Amino acid sequence: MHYITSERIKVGVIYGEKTRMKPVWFIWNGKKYHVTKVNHVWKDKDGREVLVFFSVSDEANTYLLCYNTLQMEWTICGTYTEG
Amino acid sequence: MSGTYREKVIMHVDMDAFFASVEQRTNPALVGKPLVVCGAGKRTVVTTASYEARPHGIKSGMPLFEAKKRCPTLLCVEADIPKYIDASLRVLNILQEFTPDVEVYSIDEAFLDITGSLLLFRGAENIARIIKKSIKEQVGITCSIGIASNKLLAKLASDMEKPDGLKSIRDEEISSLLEGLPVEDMWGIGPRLAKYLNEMGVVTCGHLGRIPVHLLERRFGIIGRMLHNMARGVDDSPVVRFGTEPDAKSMGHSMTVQRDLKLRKEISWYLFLLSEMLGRRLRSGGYAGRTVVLTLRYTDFHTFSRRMTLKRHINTGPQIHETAERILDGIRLRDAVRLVGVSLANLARGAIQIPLFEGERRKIEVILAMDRVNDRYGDFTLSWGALMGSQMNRVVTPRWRPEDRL
Repeated sequence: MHYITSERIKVGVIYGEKTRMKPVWFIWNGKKYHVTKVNHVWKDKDGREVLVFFSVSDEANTYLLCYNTLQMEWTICGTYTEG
Repeated sequence: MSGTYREKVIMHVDMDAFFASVEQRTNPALVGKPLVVCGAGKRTVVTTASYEARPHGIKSGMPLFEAKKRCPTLLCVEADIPKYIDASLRVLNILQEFTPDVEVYSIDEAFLDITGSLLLFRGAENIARIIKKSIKEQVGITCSIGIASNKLLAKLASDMEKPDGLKSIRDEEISSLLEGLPVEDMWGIGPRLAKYLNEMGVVTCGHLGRIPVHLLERRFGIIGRMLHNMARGVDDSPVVRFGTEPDAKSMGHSMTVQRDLKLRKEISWYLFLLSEMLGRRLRSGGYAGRTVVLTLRYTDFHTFSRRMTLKRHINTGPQIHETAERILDGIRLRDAVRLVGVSLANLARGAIQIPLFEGERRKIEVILAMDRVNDRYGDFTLSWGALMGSQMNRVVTPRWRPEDRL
């Protein structure tokens, strides 16, 4: 995993019954990334803040996005590498 | 569906290579590759090996450097405990849809008493198939399930067809199954006891089950009868429903340090950190204890513990640290230290007395105020000056419970 100091990003999300929150695109460093697959979703707490992590992939790479439910903001935490 | 069970039907659900499976789900580039999940730092061990890594002889507990020698293409991912806790809780939610009698044995294993659910869900095997499908769909990983009339046999069954297995042991199959089963394959018989039994000429559970119980009791004391029952597949232990487990008997933290500690003040700093971590966990569970245990490991892996029992219960970092320091004062160190551990035993809930003197009361108030700040903003947001910059690594002990999630 290649870590980035959390950078705020803009994310397009679909809210539904079964999938609840599903990121479908995000804009990072001026480039738009289209999410082709949401690999895994998990939650963690940091004090009172509940963070929801999304591992998402586009055609080329896999990324770790984080939604802070208290601050209501999205950040990108890193890109996954092989090992 | 043929075959019978005795009065109860017990299920053991065991996640397959749990940590590694969750990491392969998170990062598709890791799928199908030999992978281990390990701790941070150079001197770490394998926590879990993926099924692709296991044919190389890589197992949990193996030092990472040895695992890499066995498999030069091995990939290593640092453990992400919150991710695994989240997955475990989601699995627990699925299991609780079938019965309230779910015992969380560890972060990746659970027992279910499904006796009362058989009619509703049309049989044990059907319940198992639905559980496997739900876990695969909702969590994205596989599990192996064993079904039998007690916990001992259910756990044996789940181990027989890993990964992604489903195995039932009917009552009429028990004797023939255990007759040839090596004693070391039985849950509860570790390598040392198995070696001892082998040296006695007891190689299989069939052999062990035929030894008269009074002879086993004479040789092994109180566990003699347990061994006799295990060898015959007898186990009356109930499934302890999650939330009704007995209180913890002890709690502790230990750490293998990045470089060997030669100076006493270096050991002291780690004792302070571990005492602070331990105090926080104790207070969040409402526990206090009277016996402080200090554990040290030298560079030659000689490990020893010393303990001190106090007159009153304690649960703050400074109190635990002070006692650990007193224990350390009585030890003449013969070598550098690679592991430091602190634990508190003789635990009780609600055992803290309000201190008599104001100075002591203020200290407690400060610590409780720090707890409130750290609960809100995250662990170690507010801490002692000597520990600033430290991080509290979340741990998953073999006896992890969902309520341990901080």
